[in-house]
Amino acid sequence: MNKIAVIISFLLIMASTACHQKWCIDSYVDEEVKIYPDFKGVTIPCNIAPLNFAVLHPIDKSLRLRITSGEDTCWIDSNNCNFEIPIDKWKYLLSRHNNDSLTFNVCFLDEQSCTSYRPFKMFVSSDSIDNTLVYRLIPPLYGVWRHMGIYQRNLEDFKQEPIYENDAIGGNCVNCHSMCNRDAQKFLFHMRGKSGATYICRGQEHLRLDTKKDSSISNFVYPYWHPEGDFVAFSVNKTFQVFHNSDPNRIEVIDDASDIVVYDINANKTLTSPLISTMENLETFPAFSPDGGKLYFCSAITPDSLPEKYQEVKYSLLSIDFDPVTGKFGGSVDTLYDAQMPDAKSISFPRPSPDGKWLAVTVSSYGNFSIWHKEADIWLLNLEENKWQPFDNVNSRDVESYHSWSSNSRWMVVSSRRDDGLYTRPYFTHVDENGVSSKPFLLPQKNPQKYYSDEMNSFNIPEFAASPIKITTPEVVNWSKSPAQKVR
Amino acid sequence: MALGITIVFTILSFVFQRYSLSQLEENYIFLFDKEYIGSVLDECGGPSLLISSFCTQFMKWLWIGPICVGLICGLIVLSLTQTMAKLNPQPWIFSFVVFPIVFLWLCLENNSFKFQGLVSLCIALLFLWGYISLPRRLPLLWSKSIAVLLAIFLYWFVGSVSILFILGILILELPKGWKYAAFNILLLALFYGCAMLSYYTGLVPTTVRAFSPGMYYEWDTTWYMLLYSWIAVTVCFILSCIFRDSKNTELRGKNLVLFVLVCLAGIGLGVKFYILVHSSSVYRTMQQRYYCKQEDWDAILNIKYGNEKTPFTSYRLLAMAKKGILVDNLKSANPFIGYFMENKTLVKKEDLEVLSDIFYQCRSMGEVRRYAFDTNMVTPGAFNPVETLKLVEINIAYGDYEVAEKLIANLEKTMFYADKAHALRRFLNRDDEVERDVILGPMRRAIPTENSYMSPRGTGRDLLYAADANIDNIAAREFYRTFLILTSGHE
Repeated sequence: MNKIAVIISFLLIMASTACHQKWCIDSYVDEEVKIYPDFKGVTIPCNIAPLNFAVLHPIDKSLRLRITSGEDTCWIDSNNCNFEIPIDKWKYLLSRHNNDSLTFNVCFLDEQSCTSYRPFKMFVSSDSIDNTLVYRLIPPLYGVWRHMGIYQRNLEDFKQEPIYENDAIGGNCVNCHSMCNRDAQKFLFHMRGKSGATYICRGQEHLRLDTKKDSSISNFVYPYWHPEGDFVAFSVNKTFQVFHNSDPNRIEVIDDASDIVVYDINANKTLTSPLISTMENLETFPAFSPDGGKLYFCSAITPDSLPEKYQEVKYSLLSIDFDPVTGKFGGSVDTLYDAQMPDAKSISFPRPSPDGKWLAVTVSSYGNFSIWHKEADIWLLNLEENKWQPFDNVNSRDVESYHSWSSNSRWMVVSSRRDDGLYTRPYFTHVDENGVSSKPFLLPQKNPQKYYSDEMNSFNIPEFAASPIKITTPEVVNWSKSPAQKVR
Repeated sequence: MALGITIVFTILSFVFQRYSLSQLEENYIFLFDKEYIGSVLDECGGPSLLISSFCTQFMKWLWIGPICVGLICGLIVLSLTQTMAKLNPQPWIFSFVVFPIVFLWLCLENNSFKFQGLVSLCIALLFLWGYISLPRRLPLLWSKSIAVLLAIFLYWFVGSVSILFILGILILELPKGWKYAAFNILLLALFYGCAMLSYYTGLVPTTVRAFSPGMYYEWDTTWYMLLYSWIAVTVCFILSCIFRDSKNTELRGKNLVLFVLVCLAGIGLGVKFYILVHSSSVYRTMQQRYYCKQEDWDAILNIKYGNEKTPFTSYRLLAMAKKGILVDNLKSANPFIGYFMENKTLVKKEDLEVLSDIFYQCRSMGEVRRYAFDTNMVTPGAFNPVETLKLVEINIAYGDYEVAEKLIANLEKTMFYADKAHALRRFLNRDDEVERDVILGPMRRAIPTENSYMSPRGTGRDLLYAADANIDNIAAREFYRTFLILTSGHE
């Protein structure tokens, strides 16, 4: 009986000291540890999931990780060179060390001694991040697809849930999901092909819209909600694809014609102005300012021959006033960036920060489909001082394209192909009051090396949501059976 | 009977199915990967999918596929006859077993080759045989509790195909009285409960997969053949019930006639469907793809063809081009080549495969990169190892080593492609090795040094470049000359 009591006591003591084992580092090697994903020196939000990583050194010794901050120390053993940090220990560390650094020592064990590589740090920001990321998982396509879906991922753990998977309705295409101010209650997406329509959800109101009008170029395409949730700006685009033979960029998606319209949800009608729907220009990528009084968009001169002259197509950044009360547009267009200047670049995806201070855009050499442009980078426009600045810490030698702001304007998620040049991955960066970004970190996964090696889909249109979206595939299937309302 | 069926269908499959079965191995790849297996087992019907995917790994060997098919057919017959025998031991009734098997076999002959449906049906029938074999003295509540547990387990194991198990019990126990009928209707309700739960919790993505035995099938010809097969299984049970009280002596003469009629009808249907399947362009395309992989161009040219769709003839064009006789035989090729030069979006796997193969043989690099990728996309699971292997070579040729490495890592998890993929690792980030290699070197040289947008279907300029880059690229040269002749003729 006594023996059992001793064993139980021993186990209880072991369990209670799980985060405080009395391991110690015996020596150090002056060598930097190579890890994947590269989380060294990143700034992380105080509510992010554990940043698990793998050690890339070919090493046949046992590995152990020590995480320290202040008086807190945590030891984790590796599993085949992978460190999976227990979520409770991680949350404990983050909660106690806001605005502080965590120091990571990767150690290898040699018989009796424990040797550490050069330590690295992560800075824990007290700025939290929206807890949900919504994205489409889709292979980097040429012409055909089979499976795709819109998913949401809880950023505080590793749980991913489908919002809609296209197997449910004959493998059709779904795209351009968008939320109003990251509000999960106000959500829209398009479905193409069978049951094709624009699906708009506002709380309990579920609309299924037939958006093709005789007078318009196409169905609604790139969306952006008005902050009050009563209007959505869309582009309408006539698009085609061409393929490069030997360029590092494989594909071009080209607009033959494009305009911008604003859809009034309550009145079920589209609003537009001759200034945003011109024959001679290609207008696209609309985005409302946070106060709703301005509509940003991109515009290029329609060339006389496509695709031959496509490399001359460069999109300027423009804005026009919008009055949500009357639904009227301003009488003139302001130019924020003129792509007709010598050596000018092309602008796509204007996205204002919720605090109204910054406008983030993608800058590429030409065209608007920057996801296939290796030179594409993110730039910021300081809207108060009208000054441009590159997102230096974020941009890489490969594609940085789609981007989205968090609710508190302190985090941005950026689509990047820096890992392998083909498969888009979401990277997160902290943006301070001066628009300075931190080194970005890859979306954490339980086993990131395996996950990102196996994942053959791109993360398309990553968008923050303040809470999880409550729509599921069976609901979308039922929704798709409702009659489509013709937009006036 | 089961042994006979096993042998007959093994031989039949060997003779007629080797083209399709070798493709099956490409379509449903099994990854030796803990997480992959875990993710498949998470789904309803996952275990049976896993078993079939595991079996398909071995279909690369010529005899393994037919033996698998033969064994499954044999097991289905064994479980079906044994189940029917519990109710009605008269041998004539077993003749009806021919029908589901004929339909099932023809399913495989058709273009979908969904092996997992066959495995699921076999498992469902084995479970039914097991349940029917429970001791008769077992109390009703006990036997029904076992049925409930088996049904739930089976829903996870074979997915919605488990409805055949429940329908089987319902029919076979009808003569036992209203209590059994009531319990079995409850069992049916339980099935729909399971199905609803699976559908609304996202365990199965579609209503077809949740509620019907069409778990693994889309609404195409194969689905209808499977449906006939399932109806035939149900009819077997109904007949067993209806004739359970008839005496052998009373019906001997009539039985014999019926038996002969059933066999003749079965054979007739079999012949009809056999002709239907084997005369289809899809089947011939598959035959040709098989020979294309073997680079047996004579075999392709020796296949007789009629007015099939042009993808079939495109392999024929390729074979002619590889042998350097395409231009000389332009008169016979002319009616079909127009299709090849059209610029329309192709979405069917067979069409994309043939284009991928043609451009691979012509070393027209931009096109092969596109069509190999597209073929991969339309393959179930978006992973076709043959096309992926092509993509590895192409990405290495283009110098996209990081993408190539990612694809190699995936291929290394397969059984048959692991070694080939691993051997390609030595070219990663080694431009000098790539340029020296007999396969990758010519591929790299075939990439135009000056960029341009790809022409529709690689005609004209791109083919000329591929032909000029490698003096021995007869196929590209032949296609280019054909293109010139045909376009000048049109103009």
